[in-house]
Amino acid sequence: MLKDMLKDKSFLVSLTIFVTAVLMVLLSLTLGSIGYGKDLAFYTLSTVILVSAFGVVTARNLVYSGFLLVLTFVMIGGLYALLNADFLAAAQVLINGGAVTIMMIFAIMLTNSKSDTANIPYSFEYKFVAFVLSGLGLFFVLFLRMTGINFVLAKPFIFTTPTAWSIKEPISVVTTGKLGEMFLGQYIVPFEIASIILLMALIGSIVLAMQDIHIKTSESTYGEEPIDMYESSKAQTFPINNTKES
Amino acid sequence: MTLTLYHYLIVAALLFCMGMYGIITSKNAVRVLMSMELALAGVSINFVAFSNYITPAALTGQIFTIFIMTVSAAEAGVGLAIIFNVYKNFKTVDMDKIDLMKW
Repeated sequence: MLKDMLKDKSFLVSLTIFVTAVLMVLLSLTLGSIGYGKDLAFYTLSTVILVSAFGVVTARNLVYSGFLLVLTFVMIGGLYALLNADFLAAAQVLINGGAVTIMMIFAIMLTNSKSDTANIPYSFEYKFVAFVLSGLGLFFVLFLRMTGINFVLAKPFIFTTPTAWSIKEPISVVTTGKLGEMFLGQYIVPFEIASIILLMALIGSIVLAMQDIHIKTSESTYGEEPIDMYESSKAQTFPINNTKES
Repeated sequence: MTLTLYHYLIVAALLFCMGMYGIITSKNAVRVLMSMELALAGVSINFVAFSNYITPAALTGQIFTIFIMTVSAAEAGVGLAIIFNVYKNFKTVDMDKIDLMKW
């Protein structure tokens, strides 16, 4: 197991980056008194985020990319904490870093992805075209827009006046209580809709994933013997599965 | 050197582009879902950064981020249930092999 892990290059890179990240965070804590702590924390966190996100996308073994996704989400939680969003940082680590990625790793292991043909990557040409289109092209467009460079044909590549947001300085606010007040006041309707969406997703995923198990309702209540859920699930299946097998 | 909004926007844009690249080049359906989560995280960083730098007192961007988190969790749950069913029927999660309704 350890030998395989050491053979995977993306795992080695991410391990190195993680160890350096821990060292840099400790360093930034000590440097925080002279004013460079925030910068150092930002650069460390974003480096780890980008490298481990690249590992998620490119790692040959899918289990490693699942664990790298945990690292990415935890570090994004650190970025939220830098942006004065304390509640969001905790929620990010708990929900995305904990629950969602655990579900992903469950799915990787349950679908037996290690011996699947889906792990064979595409050809180099396909990946190159995808990289140029999504990676470079999309980033170039986003970068041009966010730096305020105008690429209208009449006046190409002229720096416009700085946008309104570049002059504001962030202030530190304690967000948790204020978020609760906003959720139960101004945003009460979207809040309820979000809870209904969560309930629908819960029930829907259970119904989708448990199609085989059919619980006897009408006739089994008359019998004296206890209900055997497993036997009844083997005896009765949905018609869609019968047509598939025949 | 102080941190500006652009630093966060560039990191978020890079993360979003990596998510897009992963969605395009992944054969495994679970990895496609993971790349989608990466792209959503990039969008969330944008929202929080804008909320912090433009309207620090209003917190609207953080509210939106919580909604994004809710929807992405729901999407991951339903998507994984669908992937389980696909695996049960096709015995693979290869996106190229799932071509029952290919035109």
